[in-house]
Amino acid sequence: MHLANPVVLATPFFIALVVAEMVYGRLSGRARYEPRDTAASLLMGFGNVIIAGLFAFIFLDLARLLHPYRLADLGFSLPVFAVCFVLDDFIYYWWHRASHRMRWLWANHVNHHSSQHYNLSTALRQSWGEQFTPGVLFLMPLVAIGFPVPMILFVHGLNLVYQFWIHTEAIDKLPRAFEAVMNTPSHHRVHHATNPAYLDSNYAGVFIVWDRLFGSFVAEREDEPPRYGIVHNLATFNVLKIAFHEWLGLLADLRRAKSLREIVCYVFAPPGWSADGSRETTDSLKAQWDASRAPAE
Amino acid sequence: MNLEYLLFSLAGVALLVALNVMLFGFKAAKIATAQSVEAYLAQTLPAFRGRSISLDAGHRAALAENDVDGAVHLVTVCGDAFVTRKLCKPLLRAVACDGDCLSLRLADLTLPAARLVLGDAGTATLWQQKLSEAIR
Repeated sequence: MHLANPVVLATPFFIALVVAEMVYGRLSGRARYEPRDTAASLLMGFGNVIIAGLFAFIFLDLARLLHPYRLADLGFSLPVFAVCFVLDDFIYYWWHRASHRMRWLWANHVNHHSSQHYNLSTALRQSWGEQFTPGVLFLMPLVAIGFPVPMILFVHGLNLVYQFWIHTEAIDKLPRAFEAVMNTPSHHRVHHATNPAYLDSNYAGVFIVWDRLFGSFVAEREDEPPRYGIVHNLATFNVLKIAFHEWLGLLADLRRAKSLREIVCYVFAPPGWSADGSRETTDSLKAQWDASRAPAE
Repeated sequence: MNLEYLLFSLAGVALLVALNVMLFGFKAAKIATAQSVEAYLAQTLPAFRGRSISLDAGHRAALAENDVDGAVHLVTVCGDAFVTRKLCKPLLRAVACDGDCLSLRLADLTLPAARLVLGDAGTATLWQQKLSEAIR
């Protein structure tokens, strides 16, 4: 069964919605756009589509290797689609969480967080190196269970399409029942924020219930407006530098590593880990923030 | 994915950037006061308490010393936003002073150098000494 790529189908709507948000933002002041930042985000998205297409064979070959050992043949039906969608979102949660806690995965995912703006163009600021991380293995359990590969790719694309509209400051909190179950602009603003109170939270793709279940949920607070970007924000709009700065930083650290332990930690420890402890990690920033709020004794 | 899709996407990128320029224009961030530097760094680094802060004459960069640990931070601008770096080894590669102008060379792909005009040679020399100590 051939299934279209939902991201490709949604592209005209992406463009139309960015136009609508820009116009609304200009009129209301509730969305901020910077031309060079927008250009960088959009070109990162464009590059992502090309690279994903060129290197799709990595996922497909791995899936082909695993396919003979699948547990079942689930076929194509609406209930199977629904289960596949939910399981894919569950896997997305863990991939996303790992992408913030492991430098190798972060080297790729940091691209998406590297803008200090938060608008619909930021949703399209996608990374260029997913195929060169263990991230590609995360979908293999779905292949092993027996979901058809075209279905897995389709629901994964749907998941990404859902996440487009939540990258906006133009939408406030939504009705409580919706906010309780679904990922929303409010929840995802928290995820993109660098405020210590918000770091390492709200990893959900579609269903925020995963964060609530696994202890990573943080609600947006009116007294703590999100500040977007990364701990060390980039001083460039050059897409090549945006795409590869963390990979080059990782390689430089590996060259300087003095032991196997240091090599392992630079690759697998959280971003910011350093052998001499001179850099900040999200954990150390949160600890400093907690200490700064503690009442003086 | 085909050539038409890629060309359509590129046209979309061009259209959106052009619309962005028309609606919002280019805005450059300015570092107006020492207080704004301290407030910004305190937001970014919970353990920051400003000791001495010097602004670049063009309001595009600033240096700030943290009273808590003595570390020196660079604040600079990128488009309409601020960017900061803690100036220490191995990030800070070299520091040079020429009159009231301080030049920094950094091991940072996106911020390889910074130049601050600090108003008087004494201030520039003082920062040069502090930063030279930090990378010794």
